[in-house]
Parts: sequence; structure tokens; C-alpha cells
Amino acid sequence: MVMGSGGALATTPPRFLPRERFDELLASLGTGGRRVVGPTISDGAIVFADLASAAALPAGLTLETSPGRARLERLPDGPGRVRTFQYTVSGEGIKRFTFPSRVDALSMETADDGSVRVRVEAPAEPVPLAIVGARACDLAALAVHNRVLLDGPAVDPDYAARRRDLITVAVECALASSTCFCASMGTGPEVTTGADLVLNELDDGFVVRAPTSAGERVLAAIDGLAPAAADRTVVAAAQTAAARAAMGTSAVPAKPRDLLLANLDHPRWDAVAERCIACANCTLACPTCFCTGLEVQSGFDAAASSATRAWDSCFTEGFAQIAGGSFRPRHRDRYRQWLTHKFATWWDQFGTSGCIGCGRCIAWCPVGIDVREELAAIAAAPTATPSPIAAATTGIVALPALAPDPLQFTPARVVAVTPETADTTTLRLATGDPRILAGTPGQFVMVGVPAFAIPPISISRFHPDGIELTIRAAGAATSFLTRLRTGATLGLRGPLGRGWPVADAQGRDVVIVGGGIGLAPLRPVIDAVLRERDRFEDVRIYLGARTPRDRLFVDEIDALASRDDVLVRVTVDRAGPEWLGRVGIVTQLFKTVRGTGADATAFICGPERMMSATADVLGDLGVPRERTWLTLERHMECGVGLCGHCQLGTRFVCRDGPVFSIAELGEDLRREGL
Amino acid sequence: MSSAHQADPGAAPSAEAPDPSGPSGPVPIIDGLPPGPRERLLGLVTRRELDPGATFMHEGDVTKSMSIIVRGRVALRLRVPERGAVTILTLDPGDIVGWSAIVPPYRATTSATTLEPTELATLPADDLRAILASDNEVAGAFLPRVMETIAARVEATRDQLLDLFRGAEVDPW
Repeated sequence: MVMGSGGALATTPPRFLPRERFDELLASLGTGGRRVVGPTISDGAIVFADLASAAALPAGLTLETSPGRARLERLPDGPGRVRTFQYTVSGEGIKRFTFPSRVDALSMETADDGSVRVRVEAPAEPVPLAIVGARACDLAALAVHNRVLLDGPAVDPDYAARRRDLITVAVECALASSTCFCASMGTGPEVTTGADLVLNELDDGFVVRAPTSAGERVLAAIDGLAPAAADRTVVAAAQTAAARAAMGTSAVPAKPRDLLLANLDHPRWDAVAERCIACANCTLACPTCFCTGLEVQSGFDAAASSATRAWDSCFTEGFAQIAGGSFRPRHRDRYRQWLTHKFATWWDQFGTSGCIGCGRCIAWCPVGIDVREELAAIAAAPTATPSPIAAATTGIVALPALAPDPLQFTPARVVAVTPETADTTTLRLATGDPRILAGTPGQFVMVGVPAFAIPPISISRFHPDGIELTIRAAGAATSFLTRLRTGATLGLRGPLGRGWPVADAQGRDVVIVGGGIGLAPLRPVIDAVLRERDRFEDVRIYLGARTPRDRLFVDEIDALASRDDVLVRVTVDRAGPEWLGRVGIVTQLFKTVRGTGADATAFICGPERMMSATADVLGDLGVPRERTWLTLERHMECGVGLCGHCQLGTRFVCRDGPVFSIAELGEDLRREGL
Repeated sequence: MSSAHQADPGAAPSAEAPDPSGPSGPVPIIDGLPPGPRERLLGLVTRRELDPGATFMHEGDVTKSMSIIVRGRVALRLRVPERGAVTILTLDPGDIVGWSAIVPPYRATTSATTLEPTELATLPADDLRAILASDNEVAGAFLPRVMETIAARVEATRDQLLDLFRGAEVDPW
């Protein structure tokens, strides 16, 4: 029952529901135990809650909103004082009924035999639901969530379950608040999609339309509803038209996507950051924001834990945090991320705007930042002309097919532990799961053990019966993983992401550049190339490490260096006198080597600054940008493009990458705070 | 490994800079200069062959010569009393050792020790300073190459300062 219950219906004439019979509508909706929610008054605000009768509706009230302000006010005296929907958007909207702020996600426990079990919570079987009083913008937001959470490569099972049996009773707005701009976003005030019933409130009752068969069934259960008289439908339409006129249709500049993407360095971002306090209110009030994070709760013995999926916000400090730091340390970065996601990159990711024009972010911003004003300021003095940026597409690359059930964990057992350095360990894991074994170089897995966050770890080697993970102890979870012993079990989810295009390098020189732990994701590339060595031309491997003691896979690399058909160069950042190898940064290794050029394919992994500098040097040597590949690290929680953390411009690094070519990344690789 | 590459019929010519043919082989950097400056600088060059472990420049000493590495590898080291000698950079053929020979106060900023059998093309500091002061053609051709070296060292040092491979201080996982 996604988007309307029973499909479109041949239009039936609008009926008239007298005000005193509204409870009959609620009763009809509640047939068969269906839960009915609608707007009520709570704590001085309009809040959607269980609606037992029309008496609970906000009669005689309206909601005055302006930037940084939302107040309930009494309707003026007169016949309209009886109205119950004479306001626009409530503070929180209807999102929490289809996308609750917290849902059970996982449970993890260690059994008596020491084995670890990770169970993905099945979505609770939701009670059939009817939502009364949704506005056009609310339904547009639901449609956006359908695109994000149902139509992508991965489906959010909890959302899918909650949407399965939902009846929506929409109300067409008869007025507009100063913060409303749905008419500019093409989402309202007329209700054109997503509603099973549409109400227009008049003083003495409601004009009711039933665009779907489910809506028609609800009306059919109410005895003797007469068709709405023409004068009533005319008044209803005039009210909606007045709301549209009050808003105007030019609250946002034309083509905001192109405007914003061309002005990512506009001084306005600094100006708005002076006011933004990064409180995240806008993202919590926004009906389309979908970013979530996993919160793990555990007892003291750490034997069992559960994880809750909770709303998260790109305004929080930890949202873009990885081991090396945060990619968006400044408020400027976070505000730009939010606004450009809503109005620009959402188009690239999902083929639709992320903003539906409800204005909640304006009213609920404690400092009164108005997105319309921010867009207008950039449009009024763009620092770069909106250029013919490539048309928005869903996804920038052909997305790899996800393994079946990409959210399910599979057990794996530690069969060997190899300490690599003081803080880095390689775990060899045995698993019979064909999904894991079918992984490709550059892909990663999410690794679950009780009581810890679930980190993404690149696969550092494939075996016929399992994989290897090379893990550096950086935080609590990775420290725990590096201390696991043979026989321990853990949960794996994946393989995830788009890996290295090793096959495309056949017939060419191969240049592999790794820095620090960055060698781990490259090791399967080296394996794959050496397995079919004669299909590749020159193979050159350049490796950097912090000190000689921090080198990974030392014996393997030494063995490679002794081969006739592979060139290996190693450098370290600093060393004592006992080290007779090279000292310096990895890019200096290239100066002693000739012949790396237009025929090469390069694979790079390391800290982002190192990769960027390496790509520059390789570019100078003639390696094409289209064949210079690197793998990005971003904060990842879901690995399938649903949690929102790993965005880089138009991309989800987990889903569209983590491997990208320099040509694909363009300027985004160097843009600070993206 | 360069010989290994030469053994591979499918490979490009040696991926490594070629070994010089001997003490009379070309001198990197100088060999690429226009004929006049090239000949006048080569006239100052002395060739030196050093065994591994030879320290031919000492941090803090007056720099008596500038050298260009023709073959081998050289470590630049700093004395850190608590840590001993720390290698901060290694140099390969084509690199300059001893730029301080022409930059006041003409004192070596590091020590230089060979890590492999190494051949140097050495220019005496006094002669080099004299020709750079008197011969604008030589100065105009040669000094930019020295500047490139110093600039590359500064840039590399900055990247090393960032300590990019260091473990995390804050980590979500």
C-alpha cells in the first residue's frame, strides 16, 4: 500500500462531510483495529497522536510561524473559529510514524561456546495505520522517502514494513504561513499524489475526495454522504488557490542544483556559519532527512549488546568522523552539506529534490536561518556562473549489484592471527558464505562483535574458504578486533561497495601506490595481478610507511621485491641509522623511475592527502585521470547508501565507491569540508 | 630490479634510472644544462667513489663542496641526542647533496652518509661560488636546478611533518 492504497481510481465526485459527522470518518478509518493518528494539541504545539475523536483536533487555533518562531494563536472570532485544520505544518510532521527516530536494529551476543551471533531485528509487524491531516508537503516528503528507502539498491526493511498498510487522509491547506514555500517546490498546496482521501475544510464541514479505492472504501462505510455542492467545491478550490497565491512560486531561485554546485566556495557559506550553531534542529524537523546512526548498548560483561538505529544529523561533530579526523570540522562545512544535499546532490542521488518546501527548518531554527534567504543570497551574487553541469542522474556510476540481503550478517571464525605491527593485526577468517567469497578486490565488510560499534574493514585477501582483514587498532572496536584469538567468531556483513577495476588494467602497466594501512585494500589487487601476471605489462609497487617498524606484510613484500617481474620501492617517513632503505614521502619514489605514463593504470590507497599528491605526480607522468584509481575512507554505518554518513558531494562513498577514479571525483577530492 | 625488468621482453626499457657507464659517465643535472655552462661546470667536477657507510658531510660543519649523486644512495641525518642519528631523507641518483655550499652561512644542515656503493660528482664550494658570482650564464642555468631541489625538500618535509600515517587520536570505531 505504498503511495495510495488501492491504486488510482476513476474519479468519483467529491462528497460533503458535515463537521458534526467527522467522528464517523475516524470510525471508518479505525475499522478492523486500524490505528488512527492526527493532529492534537500537546505542550502548546500541534503534535500528531492517536485521535480518538474530532474533539481532540486543534479547533479554533492556528499556528503562526516565521524564522525562528512558531506559536499557536487563537483564530479570530467569526464562523471560521470552528475550524480544526486552519494552520499549515505541525512542528514534527508525520515522519516518526513511517520512519521512527529509534528502531531496534541488531542484537549481538556471545554464546556459551564462545561463538558470536549477530541478529538483524526483523521489523516489528506494524499495526495498520491511518494518518489524518497530512499536508501536501508531508505526502511529498513520503514520496521522497520512498525514493530513498525503497527504490534504491538497498531497501530499508523497517520503512517498507511501516508503509505496507497505510491510509493517508490529507488536508489541503486553506492558508499559508510565512515559512511555507511548497508552491515553489512543486509539491503543494494542492494534494495531487499520495493521498487516499483529500479534505478541504469549510466552516460547516469538509469537501472530501477519494483518489484511491482504499479511500473510496473508507467513504463508502459512512452512510449517506451526499456529493458536495458546486458552491462548496468552488470555495474549497478558492481557498487552496489563495494559499498558493500567498506563497508565490518564486521563493527559491531557478535550478538551485546547478546554482549550488557552481558556488561551493561562495562567501555566503561563511556568513551563514556565523549564525548557525549546528544544533541539528533543521535536520530533526525536516520530513525528508533520513540519516541514521547505530547506537550500541551493552552490559558490563560485554557478552551481549543491542544496537538501535537512531536519527542522526550531518550537523553533529561525529557525523563525518573517521580515524584520521572529521571531514566537516566547521559549521560552514556542515551547513553547506545540508543545504546542497537538500537542493542539489539529492537530485543526483535520487532523481528528486530533497526539499519539499514545508519550511519547518526555518521556523524551528533557533537563530532563524531561512533557506530561501540563503539561496537567494547566493543567486544574487554568484561567484561562479551556474554552468551546464551534467544533468542530474541517479548515481554517478553504474552501481554494482548488491549481494542478496546486504543487511544480514554471516558468521565467520578466526582461524589465524598475524601481528603485522605494534598496532595492526591480520585476521584470517573462515566462512562458507558464498556472498563473502564472491567479493572482489577493494570491497569491504562490516564487522560485528558484541558491545562494540560496527566498523567497515577492507578485505585484505581472498581465500577459497574465507578472507583476511588487516585491522589497525585505532578505536575501541578495532582495538578489540586486533586482540581476537584463533577460534573467536564474529559477524560479517558484505561484501560491500565498488572495488578496484583490476580487469580493466589488463594489457597495461600497473602502478600500485600504498601508504600505511592503505596497503591492506591494495593487497587483493596485487594478488589478482600476480595470479595472471602475463596479462599485465610492467607492474610497479610503491609503498610508504611511517617507520620501518610500521611496514605491513614485510615478508610478502620482500618476496615480491625479489621477483623478476615486479618492481617494488619502499620508503618510510623517518628511520634510525639501522634502516638502509629509502626515507622520504612516497611521491619521491617516482623520480627514480621512468616509463610510467599513458599506458599505465594506477591504484592508490592511503591518507587522502597522500593519494591526492600521488595522483598529481602520476598525472604529470601522463597516467590518465580515468585510469588513476583511489579508494576513499569515510564514516560508514550501513554500507549500502541508506544511513547518509559517507556522502562526498553527489556520491555515497560506500555504495558508489569506495573506489573512484580521479576523473570521477574531479574537484571534489580537494574541496575542503565536503 | 632494473636488470630484472630488462630481462622481461614485454617490459619497457629499464624502469630505473640507468647505471652510469663508469666514472666518466654523464653527471645528472649538469649534463642537462646548455653546452657552455655544462662544460664550465664539468671542468670543476671531481668524481668520488664511496663505500657504504661513508659520512662525507657533517651537520654543522662548513660545507666544502656540493655533490650530485651519480650512483648509489645517501642518507641525510640529524643528530638527536635522545634518539641517536635520525634519517630524515634519503637521496638517489640525480639528487644534490650540500646545497649549503652556496647558501650562507655555508654550513651543512644535515650529515650525509652513503647507504650503498655511491659515486658522487663533486663541485668544490669555493670554485662553485666563484663561478656563480662571475658567470651569469652558469648561474642562470644552474641555480634554478638547485632551487628545485631545495623546494622539493621543503615540500616533502611539510608532508612528513603532517605525519599522515600516524595512528588516530579520535576514532569512531
